[in-house]
Formats: sequence, C-alpha cells, structure tokens
Amino acid sequence: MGSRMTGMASQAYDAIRALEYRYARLLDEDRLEEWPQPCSLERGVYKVIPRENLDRQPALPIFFCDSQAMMVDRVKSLREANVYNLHYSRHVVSNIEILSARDGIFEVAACYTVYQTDLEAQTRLFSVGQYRDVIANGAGRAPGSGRRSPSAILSTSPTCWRFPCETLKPRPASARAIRESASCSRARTG
Amino acid sequence: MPMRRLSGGRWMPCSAEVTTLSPTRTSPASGRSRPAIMRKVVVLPQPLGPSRVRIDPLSTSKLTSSTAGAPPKSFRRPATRMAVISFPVPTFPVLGRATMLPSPRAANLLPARGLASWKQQSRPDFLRKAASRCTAGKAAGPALLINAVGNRAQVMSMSREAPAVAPPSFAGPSRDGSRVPFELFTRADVFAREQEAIFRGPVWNYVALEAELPEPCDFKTSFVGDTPIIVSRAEDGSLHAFVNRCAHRGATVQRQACGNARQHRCVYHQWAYNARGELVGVPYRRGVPGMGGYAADFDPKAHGLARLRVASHKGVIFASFSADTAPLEDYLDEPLIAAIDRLFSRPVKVLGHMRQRVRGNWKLYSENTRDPYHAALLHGFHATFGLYRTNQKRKGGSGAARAQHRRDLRRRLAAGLAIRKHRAGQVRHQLLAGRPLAAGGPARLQRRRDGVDHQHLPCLVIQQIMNTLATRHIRPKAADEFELYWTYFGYQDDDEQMTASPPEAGQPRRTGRPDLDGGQRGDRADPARHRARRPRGLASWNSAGCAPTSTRTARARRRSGRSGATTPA
Repeated sequence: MGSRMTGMASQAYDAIRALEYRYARLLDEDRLEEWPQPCSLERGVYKVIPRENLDRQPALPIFFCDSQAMMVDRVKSLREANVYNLHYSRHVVSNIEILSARDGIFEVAACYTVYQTDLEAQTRLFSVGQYRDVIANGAGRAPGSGRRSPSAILSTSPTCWRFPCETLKPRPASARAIRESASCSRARTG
Repeated sequence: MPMRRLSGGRWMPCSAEVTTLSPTRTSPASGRSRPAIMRKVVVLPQPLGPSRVRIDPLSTSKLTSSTAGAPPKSFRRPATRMAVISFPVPTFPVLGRATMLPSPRAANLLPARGLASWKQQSRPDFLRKAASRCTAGKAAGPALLINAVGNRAQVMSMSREAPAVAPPSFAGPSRDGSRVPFELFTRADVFAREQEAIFRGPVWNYVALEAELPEPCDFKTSFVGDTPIIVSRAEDGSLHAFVNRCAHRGATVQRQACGNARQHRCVYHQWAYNARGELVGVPYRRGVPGMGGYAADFDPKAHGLARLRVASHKGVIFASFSADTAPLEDYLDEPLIAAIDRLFSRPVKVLGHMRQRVRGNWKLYSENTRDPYHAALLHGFHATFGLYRTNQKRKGGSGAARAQHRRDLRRRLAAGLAIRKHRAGQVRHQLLAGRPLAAGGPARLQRRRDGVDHQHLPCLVIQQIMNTLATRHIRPKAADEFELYWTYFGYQDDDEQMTASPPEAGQPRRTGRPDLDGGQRGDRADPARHRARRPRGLASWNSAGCAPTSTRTARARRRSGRSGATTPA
C-alpha cells in the first residue's frame, strides 16, 4: 500500500499494527490475564498449527481455543497447572500485511519471531512462523457493525505455527502465546 | 619395520629401532582415512639432533566437526584416535601391529563387549587377565593403549579427555539394576554403542503406520535410531524399508517427509531407486557418448540401498537391521500384541503429526513413560480442571509388575545392551476413559480400556489418553538430544466430532472465519449463529459436570453397557 494508502486504509493499518504490537507486549510482559479479553471476542478463535499439518484437512493443531473462555482456561492452566522451562519471552512481529479488507473484516498476515531468555541470560531462538489473523472493525462488535478503526480481534485464526525448516530446527513452538505451546508440550510428555 | 640406522656415528641397536604403527581407529567408518604414522622411536641424523630422541606422547586425538552447524544438529564427529605404545615393554612382547589390551574406558569400542563387563574389568585381576590374553595372542581389540613400565602395566585412556589412569572412573550399574551411573545418559560413546547394539541390533524398531502408506508407491521417511530410512509400499502392496543414504556417495536420497514416488532419486548424481530400494538408474552408466561410464561389470543389483527387514502387525510397521531378530509376532510380547490388536481393530486414519525436540537422553523418555510416580505430581492439568482425582483407583496391571519391568529395563539397558525380547511395559495414567473398544478379547485386557500407554522398547509408545490416540516415536539424535515424533490417528469411521479436531471449512460453527487454510469462503460471518454459541472452556465443561470428552465418553458407555467406571470425580 505504501504511500498510496488512502487515509482510511492507513488508519486501519496503523491500528492493526498497534494491535499486533500490543498483543506481543502483553505476552512479553507476562500479562497473560489481559491476553484473552482485548485480543479476542467471546467467540474468538486461537489456533497454533504445525507447518507440516497445514496441508491436511483438517489441519491438526498443537493448540486450539475456540472461545475466549478456553483462552481464560489456558491462562489458568499456565499459572496453576503447567510446568515449563523458566524463561522470559520476546515476540518480534514484522511484515504486517493486510491481505484483504471487506465489510470491516481484515485478513492480516504477519511474521513472528520468538526468543526465549533463560534465567542465566542465555537467549535462544524458540520459534519462527506466521500469524494469520482475522480482525474485525469495532471493539466488541460483530463484524460489520462498526465503522471504526479495527481495535479488536474477532478471531485469530488460523494462527500458523510454522516449522522453520530452513534452519533445520523443527522445534515445537507456539505462535501467539509462547508459553502455551511450551507447557502444552510438557503436559503431554509422559 | 626394523631399519638399521646410524646414530651418533654408530649403528643403533636393532631393538631401539623398531618402528611400529600405532594402533589407530577412525570413526565414522565411512570417513576412513589414513592417520599419520607415529613412530615410537625417532632417530634423527647427526648433526641435527641428539643421538636418540624419544617421542613419547601419551595419546593423540584429532576431533574435527563435520560441519560448522550449531546445536541441535547432531553429526557423528569424525575422529582419529591413536594409541601410543611407549617403551620399554618387558612384560608384553610387541607382536606385529601392537600389543592390544581392552581398556575399560575404551570398552565401548570393542564390538562384542557390553557395559556389564566394565565392572568386571575394573577388578584388580583385570589387567592380569588381559595381559595373559594378550600374551596368548588372542587380543584383537580395534584400539587401546598400554603403557607398561617395568612389571607394572597401566591402562591409559585413549579418548580425547585428559589421559586417565586405571582404575576407570566409570562405575557399572548396580547388581540389581536399580542404580545406574548418570554417565549412561550423557556419554557419546555409550550413545554410539546403543545405536549399534540396540537400534541396529536384533531388535524390531517401530518405524511407521501402514495408514501413512495407504497407496502403492507411498513412502515415508523415518528413523531407526539415528539412521535415516525410507519406509515404502511397492507397486504390489508389499512393505519395504531401506536406508535413506545413496549407495553412491551417501547423500540423502529422499528428502521429503512423505509422499508417493515410483522412484527415489538422489539429487547429487541422480541415482534412482525403486520402491523396494533397488538401484534402477545410473546416469551416464555407459558414458557420454561412448566415453567414460562405469565398467561393463558394474552390477546395479549390488548397489541398492541397504535394506531392512520389515514386518507389520495390524498396520503397525516395524523394521530390523538384523537377520537374527525373531519373527515379529514371536518377538512382541503378548500384552503389546493385545494392545495393538485392540487399538488397531478397525482401520485407522492419520490425523497429523507433531514433533518435539527434547534436550535429553532418549532413555530418559523411555523411563519416564514407565514412571507412574510423576504423573499425578507433574501433570497438574487434569487435577486443576477436575478431570481426574489424585486418589482415583487404578485398574489393570499392578504397581509391582510395573516396578519389576522398570528394573528389567534398566538391567537390560545396562547389561550389555543385549535386549532380545522386550516386555511391553505399560503405565496407567489415572485418566478418564474414552475410546470405545473392540469387543471380545480376554477380560483382563478389556479392563484396561482407559488411559493406557503401551510401550515397546526401544522407541515406541502407543498412547491412548482420554480420547486421543497416537504413536510416539523416539528418534535419538545424540546422547543429549532426541526427537519425539507423534502420529495422531483416529478410526476411519470416526465422525467429525469424534475426530475432535477444530471444525474446518464447511462446518457451520466455524463461520465468521474466512478460510485461510484451504476451506470454503461461503460460510463466513453468521453473527446470529455466533451469538447462539455458548462460550465453552474447560472450566465450563467441568462445572457442567461432564468432561470435554462427554460426547465420546457417553457414547462409549452406551456401547459398553457400563457406567460409572470411568466417571470423573
């Protein structure tokens, strides 16, 4: 879009970008409790799909929440039930691109990189992949009901979880919430 | 190699001039090279040096990484190890190549020698026995190291660590197998030995499910230990497995994870192999035009990919490098066969795969799945959401049997790694029921219907936890790393809800989501339907008094005519 972006489109892009950044910052600041509410509506969808399963129908996800309530449970699980490697995460979001905009619903693609830093200050690349978001125009409203700049994610679906095969590091990692996959994998171990 | 040399204007005594080739060992075998000859005595001519110079290093070792890659890549590191013999050796005559003694620290290099013998070797009479063996001319280890001074022999390390002096630091496993040294889980040489003795030994290794290869010429790349293989279905439907390394230069032949191919073609020089691993194409075999090419007696039949034995039971495919492995049905234990019979009683379909890279030794995972101690303590998820009680009663199997099996496992792993017939260990997680089971079968097995892990050494876990079915394939990469490869499956006659995957395109309740991964677009945005859906998390499931698997569980209960046996808390 670049410089030819219309005023409204530019405004939408800025809002979407701000949303993506805020999303990443909430996770990095360990404000997980705030993660479900502003970032999805009640019926929001959150999925993490391994790259090698994308071609399948249905694509088997490593993680799947089909409502905000499940996301709340996810946080509860992280806080109380799951055991995972202690770390700080850093989500880097880039290449944000609006793929389509129709009736106030935006399809957005973005690249993510997640780093983990352990308690000995050692940082490693944890996951690289792509976000595929569906963002509605209007906070808390049904699609098309608002004409304001997008400020809420109607659903984040599917959030692709891509294996970085180019680096030969097929390490399980999550897209939207790094701790989710780490602990979810752990929980399944054994 | 006696050579008469002048030194200091005088002939040296012949005894001081014997030049021997130090015993050397190069690994991996494919990277064999010619290490430098080390002379035990070097006599420099006058006037360049003193009359006699003794070169007497303890050992040398050259370790070169085959790649500059970063972890977690794991490559066999080519190494040249050279043992050095220093003089004099009054006790052991130097015969030919060298005097060779099995060193306890080098025991892993001796093919026929297991870990169990390490402890034995550490006994004080070890050296004496070894010396007598050596004197008798029977010693034939690939490499070892002796430094004999006077009448006292010392066995020195030939590994790259600082030379150690006997007795070795390695303490063998305890007699009952209840204690094993941590080293068993960290040493690269033990890992290499495991690959040889276990994974390439007389063992049936799980490699794939037939459901992953439904059609002729379907293939899937897999692993036996750290050896890459291709599992393939030939045109006639028969199953084959062969090593995924080109017979020509060792390059990876099939690079895709799975697919359908009549030929597997190496990208390097395009040698082509059929679905049975036989060499069927060699470019420029006759030369271009008439120039070059392979010799007339080049026989493609002699250059196929290394083949493994393959056997399948109910669609679970196993492969073995060894011709000595007993037939699969004899090899597998009755409980495991029963479990496979039950879980694969109907045609299955693969739902997808997942991978985990675990930074740990592969044996830790095998042990973990046999460790019921941790389950209720570490896996707090189910208790947190009320999916099971900690004091829930177990059914099937006994703690004593499991503990016995654990001991057996450790002992077998530790004792020479000679595992012949593996018990199918099983651990019951106290989870809820789910899968409707096949009718019939011994009542004892019928009782095991809920939440069961079936395990098969060395690399397979069959999972039935709640309503999920999967195989977990342990794929060792190095002593400190393995991949856990999950194949989720369901039954072909499962309906959409049973598949328990998020409803995809075409499912009405997935409305409002433009299709981004291949579904249809027409079903999007139906706000009314959205509003009608009640938010439903695990908490709401629980408060409603039913498990997330309620549909399936209820169905299972109806079918089995039982109730209550698997009811959550």
